[in-house]
Amino acid sequence: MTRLFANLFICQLIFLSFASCDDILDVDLPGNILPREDVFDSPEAIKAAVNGMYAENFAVHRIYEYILPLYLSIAADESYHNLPNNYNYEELRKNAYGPSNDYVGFLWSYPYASTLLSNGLIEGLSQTVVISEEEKRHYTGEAKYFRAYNYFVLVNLFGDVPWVKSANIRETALQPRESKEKIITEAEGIIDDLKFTETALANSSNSNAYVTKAAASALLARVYLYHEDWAEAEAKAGEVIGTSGYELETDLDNVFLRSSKETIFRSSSAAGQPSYVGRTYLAVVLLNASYFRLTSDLVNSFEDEDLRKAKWLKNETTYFHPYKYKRNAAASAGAAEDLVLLRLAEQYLIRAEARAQQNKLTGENGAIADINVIRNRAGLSALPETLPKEQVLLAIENERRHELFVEEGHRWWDLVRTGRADAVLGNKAKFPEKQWESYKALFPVPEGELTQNSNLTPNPGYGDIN
Amino acid sequence: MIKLHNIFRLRKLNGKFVWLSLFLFFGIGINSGITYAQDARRKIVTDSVALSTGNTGKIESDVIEQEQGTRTVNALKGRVSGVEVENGKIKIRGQSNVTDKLSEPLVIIDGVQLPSGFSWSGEDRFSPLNLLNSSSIESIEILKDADATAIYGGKGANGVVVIKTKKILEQKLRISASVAAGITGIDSWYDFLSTGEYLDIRAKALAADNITPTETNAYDLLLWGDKYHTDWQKEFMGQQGKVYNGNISISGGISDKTTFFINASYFETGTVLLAEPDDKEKRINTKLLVNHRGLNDRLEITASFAFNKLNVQNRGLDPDAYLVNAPNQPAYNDDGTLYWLPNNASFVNPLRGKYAVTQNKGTDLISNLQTHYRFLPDFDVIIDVGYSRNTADQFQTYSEKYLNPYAANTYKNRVLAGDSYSERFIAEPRINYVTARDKHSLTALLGASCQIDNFAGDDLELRDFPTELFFRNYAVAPVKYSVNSNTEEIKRASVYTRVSYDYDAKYIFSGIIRRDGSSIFDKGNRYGNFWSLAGAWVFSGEDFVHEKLGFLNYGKLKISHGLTGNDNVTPFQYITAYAAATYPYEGHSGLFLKRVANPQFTWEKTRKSEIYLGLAFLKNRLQVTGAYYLHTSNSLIGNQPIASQAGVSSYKDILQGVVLRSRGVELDMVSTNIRNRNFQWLTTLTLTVPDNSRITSFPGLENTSYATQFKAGESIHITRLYKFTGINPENGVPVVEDVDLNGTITAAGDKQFLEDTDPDYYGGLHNSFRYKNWQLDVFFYFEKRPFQEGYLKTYYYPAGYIGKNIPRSLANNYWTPENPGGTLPGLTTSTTSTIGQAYWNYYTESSAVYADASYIRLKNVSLAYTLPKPLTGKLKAKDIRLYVRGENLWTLTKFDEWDPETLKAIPPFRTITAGVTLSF
Repeated sequence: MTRLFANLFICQLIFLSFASCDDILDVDLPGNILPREDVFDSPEAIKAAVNGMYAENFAVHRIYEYILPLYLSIAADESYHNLPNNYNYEELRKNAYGPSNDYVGFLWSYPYASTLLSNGLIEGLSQTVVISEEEKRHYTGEAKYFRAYNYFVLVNLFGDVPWVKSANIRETALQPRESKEKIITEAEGIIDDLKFTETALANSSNSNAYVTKAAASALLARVYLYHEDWAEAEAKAGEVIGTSGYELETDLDNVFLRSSKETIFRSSSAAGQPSYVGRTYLAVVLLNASYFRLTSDLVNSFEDEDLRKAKWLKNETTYFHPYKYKRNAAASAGAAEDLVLLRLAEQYLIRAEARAQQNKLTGENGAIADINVIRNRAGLSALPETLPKEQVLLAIENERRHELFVEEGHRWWDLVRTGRADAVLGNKAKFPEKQWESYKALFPVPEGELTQNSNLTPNPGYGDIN
Repeated sequence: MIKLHNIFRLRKLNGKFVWLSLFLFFGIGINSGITYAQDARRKIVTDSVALSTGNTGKIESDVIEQEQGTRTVNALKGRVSGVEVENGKIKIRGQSNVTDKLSEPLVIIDGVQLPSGFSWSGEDRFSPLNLLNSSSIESIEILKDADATAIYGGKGANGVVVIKTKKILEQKLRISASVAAGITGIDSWYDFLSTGEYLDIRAKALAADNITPTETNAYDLLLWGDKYHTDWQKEFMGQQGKVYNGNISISGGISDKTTFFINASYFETGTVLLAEPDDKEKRINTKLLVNHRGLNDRLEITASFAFNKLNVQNRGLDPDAYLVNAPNQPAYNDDGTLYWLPNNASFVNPLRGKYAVTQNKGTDLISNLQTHYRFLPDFDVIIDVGYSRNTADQFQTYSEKYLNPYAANTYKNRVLAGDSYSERFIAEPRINYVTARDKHSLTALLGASCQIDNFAGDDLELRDFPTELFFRNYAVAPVKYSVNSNTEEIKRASVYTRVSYDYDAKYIFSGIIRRDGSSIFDKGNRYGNFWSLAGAWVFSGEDFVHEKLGFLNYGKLKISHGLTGNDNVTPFQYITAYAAATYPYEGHSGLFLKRVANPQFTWEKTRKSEIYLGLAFLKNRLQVTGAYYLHTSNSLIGNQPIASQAGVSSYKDILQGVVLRSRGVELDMVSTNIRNRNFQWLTTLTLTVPDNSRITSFPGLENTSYATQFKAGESIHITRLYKFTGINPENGVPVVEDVDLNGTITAAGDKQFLEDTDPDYYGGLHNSFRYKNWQLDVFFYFEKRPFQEGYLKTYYYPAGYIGKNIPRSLANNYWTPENPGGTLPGLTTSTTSTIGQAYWNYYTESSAVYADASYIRLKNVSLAYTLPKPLTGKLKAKDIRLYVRGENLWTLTKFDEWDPETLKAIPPFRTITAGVTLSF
């Protein structure tokens, strides 16, 4: 009996060790995914992955058409919503947000989700051998544009943030915050990425539904402005304005049409597709009178003869809502519209501000001339050349407010970067419900992030959540 | 096979060993899950003593055939302890993972392992059991503990369901047939307000809101008034369906060595819900089995081939939402077309469901070849090869008449079509060795298993067919989308061994080791080891029991402990992959980085322990078995949360430190209350007192996406709700607890974990009476479930809302200024008034809408009469039996909301059939 047991035992050991071979369990891959290695082994798949980055960024990550315009214009003084039970909106409107506000969480997480797409592409492209170096640089440039934009959003909303440059999620999830200055100026930072894009796309034939050299330059001009690199901002904006093919539309009704010559970069909303890729959502939100309304403060600040008030606002008897986009579904009647991400008018205002800061106020190359280009189109009288610098800067702020309202949250960033937020949003007489404090110019690092990553620190003013 | 073994045993060994081996297989075979080996001696055991209903719960054909619908799976409900059947899903001893899908048991039909649930748009009917005709099932066994399930290793964590279909292997030609017919329907109705009462409460609600009725805000009062009357319950489910069931089997043989068995059955039931004449569920089952024995009975080959088909046609309707529609809402215009409220885009005529037709067709092919060869007197080689293929074809049509003509419809005449198949190839060779010397006996089994699964499916959407007559002609649809398509392959390979030993039929030990590999996991993590150890002591075999405890004629104590696994995870999660972008961009499709994978995760593991006691008293007149089980699952695969700066907020991994525990007590009792020549009365009771699926540990739970779903220390079925504290006597607004005391009610701050919706206990009570040739069976199912969501959970409109009726119980004690003590919210016509907002936002998400859903239901009654032998003989038949059966005949419950069993508006159908079975 004992021997029998022993024999059986040996037999079984042999038998069990038999099946430790992994390869016999290899299977065909499913039809609905493509492993990363296979994507970067195929020129067609790489091209599709670049295209997919645009689609996901605009349709899914919703930074451009939803999160920024909606949340930031509410947190600033441009708009409010009609959902009093939505405490997330209420906290934004009252500047009473804390680390647990869900929308603040989105402001943090969506740009990072978009960055992962870029990082995945950049990493994959760096290793592929199936496309030419030229193409690699081209696609990498497009990916870097989006990464730069995402960090531009993050550092301006939160200050120092984790600087994630890899798709290795389990490592990057624990990165600590990096200084805003480094993220803007160092290698692979915002400026460096955009310069790369400019060069890589120098000979690109991309349409304005894709990133172009001009788009990279236009964004770079904005970055320089925010970073107070006045000379570079002036030069870069001037370069964009001088690029052939772009000009201001004279009729305000045409500015947001697909055919607009003013558009430097737009999202695509292909007709006949069930997707409207981004634009529609904004349009629906903007047209959704029931919950997205402009503050009377903004509405009343327009000069009476300002054509933008007549053409870009819509009066619903008791309130106004934005009317830059006029269609609420791709299928509805009217000329084609897309979400405009970068347009020439902003470049004039960037150059104006950069010039004013350098005391270049008057003359053909002066700030006032640039402002007047925009005012002229809006049917407003030209500003006098005699305005002092402080007045010119205020005039630029005012012009940006009326030209760029609800687009990408410009107003919020203008108030914060110029330090005017305290005066404007802290004005208790105008905004009795706002609980503005200077520290609120930076949003709180979301609670969930602080608990998931112990290397993160909260933003000043928002306390230690523990 | 049965014969084969018996012959060998009898020929080879003396009488004592026969007895021994019988006992061995009784002791270990059944109770340790030897079912796997398809072992012959089982039959002997099941014939001998009913005590085998221990930790392997088993029901046989007499019970199974009581279930007459297309939901054969319901036959398990209340019949086997430790088994819950909810909405067509089987759960054995709770869940081993926090998601239902990962907790489905392994299902084996005639030796072929099938996927446990065929998902088909979430349809519950496609449990593989439901494809079988209940009258063709011989037995269903539920394997529960470590000893019974460890032999299935990585597939055993959620328990195993072993189904055997009927077969006869004799040379003599035998034919048996049965036919039955009956009706099915609903005849318990909810008590809603009459038209007069409805109009009255609406007028009061308008007055309470200070609203002047207009044709817009009160079209039900001003346009309809008391001109129309529609009984929505009758419209929806007032019909009776006819049920037909026919079954024939033929068996015989060319010789006593080569026999065959053929079975065919047809089942049809008309649907009860808003049915058109061709809305039916039809099921066809066929089976052919050939058995051959040769080489002096040392070789036995069985080939079987079964084809099952289920066709279901019904109409898309949503009784939960629309049963409550106003009693004066017109259903039809005078010309017979659907009524639509003019110029109202959001108006719904619930009967539009007539024009949304769903056709589901499922087929299921199961083929199996079993070869059993005894190459040495003690050694058997058994090779099973099986192939199964399941197809599901769904076809949904929405005709233009389904659409509100006043709404801006984005499509007309639309088709949603889905096709899928899954197939499985499985081969299982094994060697069995049995030996015995004196009082020792030993069985050893060595086996391997190889399994390949393939799946493919696609969904299409087609719109704007010029006419509904062309619905089957996809070419004419101008708009076509392929919504989804996918293929999938999974491979599994395993080796295992089991050794069991017993001494003197008193001390029994059994050990199992199994190594499983699965392609679900990445290389390096594909293999898992599973095992179990069990010991049993048949103490009734001891002398002192004979001497001191004479009334006890059988007693066994058994302990088992082991480790089982689960790989029931979506495949390919370990691959970092791109997938098709959600939308095209500039007309071109795209790819995006869908998943940055973690390749590290591997088998989920569940540790099972059990202590079991089986007793028989008074010459087996009373048999009682009890079991206490403890299952802990501690390597659950889930979404591991990370900081979203990484670009994603979680990835698939083993959730470190998370422990899920199921434990409970199971009791089964069979009592022969009266037994004499003419009369027999048998009572069977099963009772389960579970404490299942409790998260005993979940480190960092509050930072995960599970934070609002689970709470450490609580069942995974915990509810997170507002706590209803009463009606504000000032204004009739329902009030919920403001937990964070910040003055506003928000889900994040004020929902709290209240009770779980698990049952406290459940079970079944079966009484069987036989008097001469008459047999009466009565089966009750009971369940104690003190906290369950009811009607209001699915009904968001306050009393007085336009177009929505209310049950009478809600009209009894609502708040008014004159009745400030009312326990129900005040009347309001809108969801934006103060009451309406509170109602819509909090009340229906509060504890107020939960109630005690305990119930006792008379599930089955059956009366059968067997014709006396002399008469049967004259008809040249062997056996003739007539019967009447009823299902879901009576219910006792305090739950006055929806049905306590389905938790929906529609209760299980009451079905009554009469039939005859003949065998020649």
